[in-house]
Amino acid sequence: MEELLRYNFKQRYVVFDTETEGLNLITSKPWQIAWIECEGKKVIKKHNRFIKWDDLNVSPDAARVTGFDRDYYESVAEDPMVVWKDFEKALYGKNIVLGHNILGYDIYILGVWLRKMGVRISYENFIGELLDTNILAKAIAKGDKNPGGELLAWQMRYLHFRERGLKTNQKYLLQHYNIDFDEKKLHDALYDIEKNFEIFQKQIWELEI
Amino acid sequence: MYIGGMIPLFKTHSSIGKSILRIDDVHELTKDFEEVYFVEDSMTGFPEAFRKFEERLRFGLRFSIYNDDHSEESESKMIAFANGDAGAKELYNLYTQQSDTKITRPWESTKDLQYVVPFYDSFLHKNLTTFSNCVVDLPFDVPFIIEDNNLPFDCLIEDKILSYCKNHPNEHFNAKSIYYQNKEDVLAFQTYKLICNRRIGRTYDLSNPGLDHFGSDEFCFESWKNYLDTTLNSAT
Repeated sequence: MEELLRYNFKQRYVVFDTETEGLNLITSKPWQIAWIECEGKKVIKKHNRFIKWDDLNVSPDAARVTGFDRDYYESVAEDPMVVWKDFEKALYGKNIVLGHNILGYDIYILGVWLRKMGVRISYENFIGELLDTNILAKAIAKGDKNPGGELLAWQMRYLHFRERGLKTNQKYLLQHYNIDFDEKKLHDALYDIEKNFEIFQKQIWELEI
Repeated sequence: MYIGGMIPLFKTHSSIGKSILRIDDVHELTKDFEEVYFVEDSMTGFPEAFRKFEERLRFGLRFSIYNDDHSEESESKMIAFANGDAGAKELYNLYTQQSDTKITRPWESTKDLQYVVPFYDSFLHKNLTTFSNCVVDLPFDVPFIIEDNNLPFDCLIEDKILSYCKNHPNEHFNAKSIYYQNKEDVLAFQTYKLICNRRIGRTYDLSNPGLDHFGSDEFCFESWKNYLDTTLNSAT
């Protein structure tokens, strides 16, 4: 990231989100993954894939929040390895990896997915290129605009930073940046990441990254 | 038994909420080990460990260390291993001392303890991943532990340790913290932590355990054994 991202129209991104059985970082398998590939401000390609697990057990809370539909899922879900191979190309493809709350959550879910397939995840292949909009929102709120070289460590510090009343959820950020959104569609993985990329496009004007 | 380039560091359930291994389990797993390393958060398991392992025992205590101002935010972790009987006495003193004093430079008042900087929760780890400012006046003969448990930030901490050791005479060595026997036991360990972490007003269950960064099943003997087998196979 030699040039500020807001001026780098050639920068490639992969924005992703998962929907999962629950919130357990060891066992909660992802049943949906959506990712978009972007260049500069433009979305180039959209992917919305469902992952087939025979022992999928979506918790009642997760089903309610994510609108999980078993029949639809059964009709479209694909082999986990097939979906992973496609996603992996984007993840390990020297793009900036972007998402909301991915550093403390979704990247662990990728680990669950791979472990189920008997593969050890290689975080080191993409962790240095990762940006989490939830964390960026905290830094912006605290007036810290410059990570000073250690981008991952800087994000880890804000990941562990908690302050009562500090709002950084996606719905709040959409409202904060006056981005139009349909509340009923929030928590649909593909819709979430498209909106998240819009949030990120606003955030990069408030950060020296 | 040859323990390779990675020292297994056992923790047992005498460190409450931190492991599901019993001293007997460790004894069973390490019958052919010349030395068995424990890193515990309390001294309660020491008498039993000493009875079982006798001269094979290498007992370490993980304790909190603070800046000179004794501020809570400056807390980080350090390990002390006892050398012989005199070291065990000093370890007991340290353990007792930490209940009413904030320890700052323990090495100035002990002779028979070998200090080691743990991989997780050390001053480097805390300064790197939180807004803490832990300042430890570390002697040059205190080495650092490096672990690889397939957590996303392991490589970040390792880089920091390597960089520190490049600029200071301190050394580093590879080790693995072991809290359960096999990878499949991670769920039993998680359940145990869930029970130990119960808080009033919070409802956690296995679909939402509320355990930050609990995303690895590598803190186990099986994982250490796999590493050893891989190392031995690649050497032959």
